[in-house]
Amino acid sequence: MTQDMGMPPEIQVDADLAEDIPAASPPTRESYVRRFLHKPLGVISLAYLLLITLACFFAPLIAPYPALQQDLLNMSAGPTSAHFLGTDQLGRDVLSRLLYGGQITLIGVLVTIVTVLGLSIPIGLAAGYLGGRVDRWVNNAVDLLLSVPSIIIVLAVAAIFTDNLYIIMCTNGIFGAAGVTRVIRSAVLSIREELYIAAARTAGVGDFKIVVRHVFPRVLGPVIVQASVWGGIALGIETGLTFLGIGVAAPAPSWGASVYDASQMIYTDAFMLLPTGGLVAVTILAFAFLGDAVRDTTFEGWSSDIGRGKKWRPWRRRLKSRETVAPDFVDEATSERVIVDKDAALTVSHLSVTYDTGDQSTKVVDDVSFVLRDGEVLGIVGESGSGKSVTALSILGILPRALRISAGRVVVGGRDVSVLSERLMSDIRGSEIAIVFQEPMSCLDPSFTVGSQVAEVVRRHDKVSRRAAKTRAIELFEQVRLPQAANVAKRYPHQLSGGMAQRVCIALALAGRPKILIADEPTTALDVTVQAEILGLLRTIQQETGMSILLVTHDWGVVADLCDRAVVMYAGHIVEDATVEELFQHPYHPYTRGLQLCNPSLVEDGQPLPSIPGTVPAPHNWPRGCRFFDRCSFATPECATSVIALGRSDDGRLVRCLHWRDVASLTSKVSS
Amino acid sequence: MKNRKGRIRRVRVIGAGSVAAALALSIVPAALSSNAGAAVGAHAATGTLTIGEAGAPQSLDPSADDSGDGLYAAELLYEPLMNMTDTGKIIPGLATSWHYVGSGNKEFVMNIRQGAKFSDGEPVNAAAVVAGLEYNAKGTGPAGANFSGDSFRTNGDYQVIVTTTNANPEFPTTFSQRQLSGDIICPNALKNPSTIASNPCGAGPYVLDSAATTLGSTYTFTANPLYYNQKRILHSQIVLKVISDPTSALAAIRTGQIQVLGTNETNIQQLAPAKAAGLNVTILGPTSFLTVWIMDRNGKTVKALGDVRVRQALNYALNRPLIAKAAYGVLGAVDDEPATPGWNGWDPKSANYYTYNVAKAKALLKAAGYSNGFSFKILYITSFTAPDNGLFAMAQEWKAIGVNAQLVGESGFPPFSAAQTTLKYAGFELGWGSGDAIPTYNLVWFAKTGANAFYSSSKAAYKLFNAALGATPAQFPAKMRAVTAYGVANAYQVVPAEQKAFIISAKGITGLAKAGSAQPAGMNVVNIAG
Amino acid sequence: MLRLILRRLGRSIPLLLVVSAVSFVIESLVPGDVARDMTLGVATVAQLKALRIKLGLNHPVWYQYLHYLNQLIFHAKLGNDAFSGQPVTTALAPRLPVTLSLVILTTLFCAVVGITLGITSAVYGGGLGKVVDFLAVAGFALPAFWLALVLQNFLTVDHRIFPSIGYVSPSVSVVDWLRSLVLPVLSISMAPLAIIAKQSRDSMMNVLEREYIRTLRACGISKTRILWKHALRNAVTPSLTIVGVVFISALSFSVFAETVFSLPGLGSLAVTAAESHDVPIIEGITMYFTLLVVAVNLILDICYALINPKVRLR
Repeated sequence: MTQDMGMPPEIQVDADLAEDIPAASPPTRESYVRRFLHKPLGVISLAYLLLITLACFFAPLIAPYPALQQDLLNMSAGPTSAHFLGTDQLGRDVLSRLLYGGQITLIGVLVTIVTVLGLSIPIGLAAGYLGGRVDRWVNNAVDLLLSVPSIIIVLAVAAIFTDNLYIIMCTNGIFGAAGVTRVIRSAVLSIREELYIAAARTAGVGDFKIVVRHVFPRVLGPVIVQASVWGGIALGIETGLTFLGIGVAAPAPSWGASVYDASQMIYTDAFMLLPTGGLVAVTILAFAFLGDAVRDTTFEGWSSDIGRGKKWRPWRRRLKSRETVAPDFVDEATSERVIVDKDAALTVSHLSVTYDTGDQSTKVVDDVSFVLRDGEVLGIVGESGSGKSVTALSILGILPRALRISAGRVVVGGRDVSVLSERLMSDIRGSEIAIVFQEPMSCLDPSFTVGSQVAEVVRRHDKVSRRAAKTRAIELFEQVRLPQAANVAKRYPHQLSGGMAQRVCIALALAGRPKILIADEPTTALDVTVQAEILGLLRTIQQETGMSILLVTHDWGVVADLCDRAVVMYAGHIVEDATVEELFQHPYHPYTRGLQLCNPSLVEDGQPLPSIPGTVPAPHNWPRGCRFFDRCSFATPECATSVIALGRSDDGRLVRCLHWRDVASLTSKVSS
Repeated sequence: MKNRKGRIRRVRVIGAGSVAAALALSIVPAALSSNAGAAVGAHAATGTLTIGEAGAPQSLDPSADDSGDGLYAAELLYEPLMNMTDTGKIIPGLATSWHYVGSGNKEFVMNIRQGAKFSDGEPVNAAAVVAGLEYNAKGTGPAGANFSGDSFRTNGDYQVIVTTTNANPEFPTTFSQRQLSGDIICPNALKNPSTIASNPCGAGPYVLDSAATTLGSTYTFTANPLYYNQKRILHSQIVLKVISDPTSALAAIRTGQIQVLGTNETNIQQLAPAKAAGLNVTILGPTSFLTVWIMDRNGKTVKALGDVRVRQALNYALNRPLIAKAAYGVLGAVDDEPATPGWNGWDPKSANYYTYNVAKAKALLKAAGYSNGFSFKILYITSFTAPDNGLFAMAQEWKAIGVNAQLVGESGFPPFSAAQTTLKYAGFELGWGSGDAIPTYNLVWFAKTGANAFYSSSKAAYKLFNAALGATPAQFPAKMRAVTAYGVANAYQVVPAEQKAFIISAKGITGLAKAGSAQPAGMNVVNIAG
Repeated sequence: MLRLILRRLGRSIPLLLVVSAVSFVIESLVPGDVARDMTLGVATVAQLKALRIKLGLNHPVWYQYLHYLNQLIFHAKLGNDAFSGQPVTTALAPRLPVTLSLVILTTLFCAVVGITLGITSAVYGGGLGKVVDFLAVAGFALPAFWLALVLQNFLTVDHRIFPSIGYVSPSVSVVDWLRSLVLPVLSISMAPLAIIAKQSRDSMMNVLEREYIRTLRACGISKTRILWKHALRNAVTPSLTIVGVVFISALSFSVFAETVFSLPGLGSLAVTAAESHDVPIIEGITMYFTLLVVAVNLILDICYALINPKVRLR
């Protein structure tokens, strides 16, 4: 009945943010069991189930009366000291009958679970792993089983094997195995594609061994979840079947029989419904909670808490503010006087972005400032984890829930947009600032034609008719050089190639006639030849419209191709801010210099490729002093002791280094 | 659970297997004991009566109906040859008069009513009756089983002669509405037998409204304008609803959707709530009794049971009021013979034959040489809960005198009857519906049937039985009672208790049943006596 | 589209064959003597023999099955009820609308309420999310028949809001028809409702995480429009497959509702037929149920294809 329970939630972590957000699980990985023990509901449920099973197992020792014994003087009685839970209409002790009945009922449940797992695990594993014909046959069989209303077959089987509860529960298990087989198969399919499986295969490890040692343990999580789900379902089925007269013949005890007896006494003594129905309900709940807890424990390690059961809001509520920032203001945080460039399209001033998880807060972007002028193409360059994408998203105010701007201003058109209300902000988005993302295919709604999506954005910003919007959409497609624009407009995203889709995304961005275009790694996900085309397109559009472009990239080639100026980010900081020629020919920061030296074309044949030793520190590991200290060949002890400010060089460049002069003197030796 | 628990299924054994020997008998129309009672007042046919029953009639074809739940449908649709009143008296139906010919009760003559019509307009005559009887005789239900060895012929337009190789002193009872054998189906319908069950046709007071009927769920009967005695029709429409769950049934009558819950729809759980809700509860006379029939009376597998003293000891050892309460609660009463008042097997002198006397029981055992007791197996059906409780109580009582009764339960009737034939069980227990004693005694004492698997028979008992079968009407009651007395005195069975049935009816609905009466004719939905 | 329909229908034929064969075989495995059981052991040997011939039991099982198939395919007949002799199709026909009403209304109710609940709780989170989580679990814990009896007790007897038993055909009165189905639908809706609510909640949360939602927002599209036009459309589509599952489980659960509320549907007939070994009726109901499932799956496939362009334009 439940098909999807047990599958991991599909977490789509934005490709551009994936590197910037710190890993969810802390480096010390707690063991599975330990993590499970942190879940109170799961632990309680497990304890309860064990307790109940033991109690019923030891019924002959615990139960005050035999299950069939009648106290003829005390029929349909409520709880008394002699009968803690009262008696039923034949004077039998309810508590004793529940204890003895549990033996029969719980074994029936066990039979179902064993049948379900015993069939679905081998079949699901085989279908998922072997694929091909095996998979096809299994799928057909599963479809067939899932299409049959099992009640009919169960009734027929019950007619034959009257009063054999176990055979009937087994039949139910066969039907249940169908759905679980599907779940296991899906899990195996996703695991099979993983690299280490391919590696094991290439190494010659046999299929069976791979399945048993590598695949099955990963599947164990969903299996346990399904087992507990089916425990609950089986218990419910047993109760219902007893009502229909199937399964256990009177006067044998079972939980279903007790519930039925109680329901027949609804008019004389309704109390009995409580212990009987309550026991069944609570046990089913326990199975369900146990399943939930196991599922959460299994999939916790897979993702951060994006999208998990907490109070979920699509985006953070923003403060309402209409604050306009006067040009040339004093920044409260640093008490600095900030000069706002009148020609600037966008000014980012001391921007910090923090990542919140549970009780921790970590800065991922630290005191970033730069200016984007009219008509300029500014690059933000850095490697993974430098915070460049987060910076770009924060400008538009579309950070994921866990991130927030913790300090600084973002000034566009005289207004600080970082504190604007959502409604005002959405007016700005698309019409003053637009953005193009890295993965074009994911950025388009698969259910609508690309033409209609662009037209929608057009209508959002220009109050025009549908027809006019459609025409404008086709115009935009022509502007982004899509051939046969009218035909393309009728297509769905999945019918486009990567390059075409990115052009559509650019058209989407241009629809509101923005003054600023942010391009977040726009070509990273595209083929090399397409990359050049898209870059060329961006250049053309910039020349045609005079837009300012903020280009986020890790690729120096793109910077060289498109940008006028660039800021280099490292570990959340801006470390250098200069024109592109200056950065390429005369880098002042050791990191920039190191990156330039890594250019493979500088190396002679036969020499090892140069690289910067060490790795970028993660946000929660940022040292007090210079973050590049460990890897810097110009470092001195004083670099590590205090925060390095972003200083201005004599020729007006911004650079965050105490020894920039040393670097500058060297770079005359660097040539591109 | 519907049909298994919560509904006491009475095994109405109607019709017998073959009676073994031919006997010399005299001519006699049978007469039954009667309790004089006031007739139901005659009403003009008005309104709709809605009845709730726990199970549907198995078939609307009387020859196939198993008669457990179908009696109401059949008696509305078909007119039998004779009618039985609620006091047990036999009055004319489609047959106006009858008599036996010769001695031995093997030839029976009936004069057929003139001027009666079937619901399709065809006249009722001897040819139609013979055709109907021949069809019923081939039936697969118990009705058919009544007809072993019978043949029928017409004698003129309005006389039918029944000839049988097996003596039957009670043809009028056999042909009454309670036994279904005498229900005559329209000759036109007999030409298409497969349609009878869905489009029944008879000469009864009602016809089936097929448009408003869903077989197995709701049956609607409308008054038959061609019925020959319109005064008997009390309601212009009768609706029978099948409600399998007793709690739902009680809800239905409390909300007014049903006006009557029939005896198969009522169980003891409903008694108190029904009264509390202001409904009329009419408790009838006993309609079934709890019995352990001892099959191995000749002691083939359990030697002890071959000794009458041992069997009597089993009877003396029982505290009958306690067992009655255990089995039937407030609806139970003490009984010690395999019959209830109102039927031909009932012997007033045998009531209270066995008093509760543990000392006597022990003494009898000792005299027979079983002071250390013995053990034997009793077969029962596990789902018929109420009488089973009585059985458990009996076993507990027998323990006190050292007798170990091992109770072996089967889940349903099919495995039960299969187990009977294995000869592993010295006795079996059932809740036994009251009825004609002849087929009962034949089944359990005399014939070679599953119930008498050991074929234990006694010449003396047989002689008495045959005498009753061949008796004249005046002698029959006494001779029949003598058979019962013999069976009780020789402890062919152990009967501790009987059960009273009851019906629940809505306020203002009265006259359907007489409190305390045996109601052998069922509820008075049709005013037979009027 | 046409190809999709034909393909789906083509896959259904083996399904029907297998299902009918399986239930036929199961029924033939009934131990003991069917004829004797039907007559409660009081029929004579000759009568039993006649009955067996009448029921076709004197032939081997495979022959009986082929005969059954022959009747079904070439004469559109499903045999006759073993007891009443009535053609099975006639016996089942009046009951089909009852079960259909119950099951379709249940599915609609669960789909509408469940999807609404799930999506609302995904968007607004907080307390509503907890309610959905709780429902998802509690829905299983309440036995359907228990709930049916409790509802019957409180809402029909204690408070005369609904009829306690019975079914009213819509041709007689639409209002009464609905009234007679409210409690049956409620009593069997709990578990399917929970499934749909949880699934659509997960689906909506999933969709709201997607990049195109972020893109639309980055283009300035309002939150309401994103939710109601884009998110909803993409979130509901996976829920459609669950609706098929709900229909099947409603078919199974319908037995309980029909028993407690005395609805003259296929489910209640199935139970009594199973008890009395009325094989032709059981076979007939099996076929009907399976056909219903096939039909519903087909309709859902078509709807899914209409909504999901990836499937339609393959």
